[in-house]
Amino acid sequence: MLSRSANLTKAECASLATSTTKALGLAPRVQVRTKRTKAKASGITPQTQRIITQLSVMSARKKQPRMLKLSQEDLVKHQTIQTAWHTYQDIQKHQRQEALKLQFQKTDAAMDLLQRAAPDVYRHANVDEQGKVFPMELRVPTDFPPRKVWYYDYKKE
Amino acid sequence: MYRRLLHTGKVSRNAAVWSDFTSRSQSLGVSNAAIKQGLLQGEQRTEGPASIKRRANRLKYNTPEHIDETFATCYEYLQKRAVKAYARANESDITPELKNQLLVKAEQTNPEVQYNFQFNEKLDNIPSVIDYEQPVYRHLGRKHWESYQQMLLMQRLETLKVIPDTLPTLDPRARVDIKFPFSTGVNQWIEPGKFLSSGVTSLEPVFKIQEFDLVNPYEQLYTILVVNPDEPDLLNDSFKTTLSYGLTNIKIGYNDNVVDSRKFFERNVLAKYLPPVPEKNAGDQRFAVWVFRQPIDPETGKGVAIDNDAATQTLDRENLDVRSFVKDNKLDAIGAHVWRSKWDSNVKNVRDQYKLPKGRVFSRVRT
Amino acid sequence: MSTPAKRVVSKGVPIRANLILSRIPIVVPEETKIEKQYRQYQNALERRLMWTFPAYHYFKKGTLSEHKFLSVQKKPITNNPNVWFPKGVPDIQHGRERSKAQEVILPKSETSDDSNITRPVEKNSIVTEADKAGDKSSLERQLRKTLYLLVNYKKGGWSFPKFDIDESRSLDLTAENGLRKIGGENINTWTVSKKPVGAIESKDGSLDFFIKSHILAGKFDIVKESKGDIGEYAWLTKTEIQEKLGDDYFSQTGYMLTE
Repeated sequence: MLSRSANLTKAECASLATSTTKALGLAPRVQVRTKRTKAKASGITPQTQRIITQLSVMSARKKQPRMLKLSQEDLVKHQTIQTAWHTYQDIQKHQRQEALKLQFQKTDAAMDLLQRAAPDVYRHANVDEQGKVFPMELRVPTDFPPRKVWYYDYKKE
Repeated sequence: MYRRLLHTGKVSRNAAVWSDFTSRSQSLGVSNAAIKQGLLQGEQRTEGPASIKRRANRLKYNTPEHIDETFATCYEYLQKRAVKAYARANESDITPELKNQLLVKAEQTNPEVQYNFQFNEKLDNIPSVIDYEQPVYRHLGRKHWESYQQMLLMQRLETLKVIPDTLPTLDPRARVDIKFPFSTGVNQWIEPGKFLSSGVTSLEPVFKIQEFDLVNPYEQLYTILVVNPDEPDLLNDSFKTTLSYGLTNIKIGYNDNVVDSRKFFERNVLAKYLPPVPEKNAGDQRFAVWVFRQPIDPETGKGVAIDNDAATQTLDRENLDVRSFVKDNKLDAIGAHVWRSKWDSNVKNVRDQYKLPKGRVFSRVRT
Repeated sequence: MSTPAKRVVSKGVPIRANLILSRIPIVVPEETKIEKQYRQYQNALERRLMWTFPAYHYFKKGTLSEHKFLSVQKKPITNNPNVWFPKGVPDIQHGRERSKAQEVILPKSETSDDSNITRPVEKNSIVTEADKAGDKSSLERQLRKTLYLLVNYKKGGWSFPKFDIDESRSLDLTAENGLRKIGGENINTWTVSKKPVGAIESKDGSLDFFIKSHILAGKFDIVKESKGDIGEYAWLTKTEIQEKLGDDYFSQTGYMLTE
């Protein structure tokens, strides 16, 4: 109500407001017109537009493809492919597990033998190696070889 | 003993074992030639998959990229494993159970078998499509049953307290379904626990017992009991169990397994059908269907029959002890079903039809 | 687990530490037919089910780059009520036919300078010069396989490099130091573990323990002082080792090796 009286200055409004509220025993309520910071109702500020764009990138609306509907034949084909793939993976996994198991058993047997044959050497071998990590120089296999396949010019520090 | 089951396994050590129908059952292949070609050869079809009925929809259909060549490789891969399983199954040193398992293993990844099973009627099966004599279809049928119907049945039996009110518990192994097919009934398989009006149940039900286990269908005998554990017993201020229907020495096959009047004779009937006639205000009554395997003589391999004449003499229909009946005859409960009844306006007509005495009307008494 | 018979080992038997020095594959193993086809199939499915590329997020409206991008995209067929579409009425959102995979084409820059991200990738050949020349002493051969170092002892023939142990040192140190003594100092290796991965008891009572190690860089080259003992060396794959060592020896060591 107070802010609508256009011929009052900001300071006058404030003092008037405090005196009125004090007289009425209300909490002070200041509302004044200052410089416009919001855009007009018709347009959107660039900041808002950016948020809208970013949100619409995340949201599914209008961007989802049509649902994939498979015919009965193709559904069975898909299931067959998945079955074959999982069988293939299972067999490979099983083979790896078996190889690892064998290696563990052989290591165990070798350590037993070492303990009986050379107890001193066994003590050196049987230390905890937790926390051992692969070195930085070890290369991970890639799809294609690098330009320089092997670094031959290594010099001992 | 398992001769009929054994012959299905004799397949040559052929690399293309899944397309060899000289010794394998026709039910292990898709019968429709167009669908079979679309399934196995893929791209040679001219206008879309044959399983789609409308031509416009067939034309519109887009098949996923690379599916056909990937399928061809995977089919070969799985078929190679099937050849190995068949080779092992044909060896003579294995038990019938292991042979059964191997035959399941050899066929359960076959896309034609999967197609037949997934897109055809599993309960009212056509033996040329889903043949439960084949171990693989029994295996798939069991999996399908366990995925829903078995759990539903057990839930109904437990919440309605059919177990332990009639028998202590049930290890479900066979799928049991009931239907009231006559003009008075509803011609559909009944969901366990459903309320049926007395008109529907006025004539006897038919039972469908689907075995999934490896049994000998030529020797195995079955007993079916329909019991009502909710008959008011005023003398003891309690309830008693009555026998509504009893059938013994029934033989069923894996496919031919609907037990109706064509399947048994007068001598198989332990107790003639008495329809549910609940009395007014006596509450809901449960009608539990129990299916038992009768014992098999381990020496002769023959099923042990129940002497119906002797059993009828000693049997007290009005106050049946189900537990002792099962124990005395060494019965093995494999399946069950339950429906419920309560008094309705049609009960009087059913009583008249069966010449039963007039029903009582109960009322609340302040104690 | 199998428990080996607890035989008492007599004191003073010769014990040797063998080093299984491997060069891990440089290139990933070749895809099998089923792997390749399955990957292609899944990739096609994933592209079909991909959300439409939000070009408006990456290219500001009305800019030159947006124009460039849009001008190279293939335009889908738009719906027209007067036309019969046998393959179904087009359903287009954001310039994409929703029932198909979207193909996003990146515009090529006019100048052919190196900053252009779409320049073709040149793939190096997996078959190297050493493969063509059949040079088995090179580390640049058989890039898809694991290679193992084998040396030809003038007395004992081909085997993994082996060294007599010193009771005061661990097996791995004996093996690694021994390797440098025969092959030069300029090798960078990484020992997998101090524990032996296997053992062989020979008929004469001697024991061979195996230590695993990877070569990371450098070159194994027989030094002058060892030339009297060792004739030659080779980097071999598992199958080549089987041919070289014979089935008897290989059956005792094969499980330690990978393809």
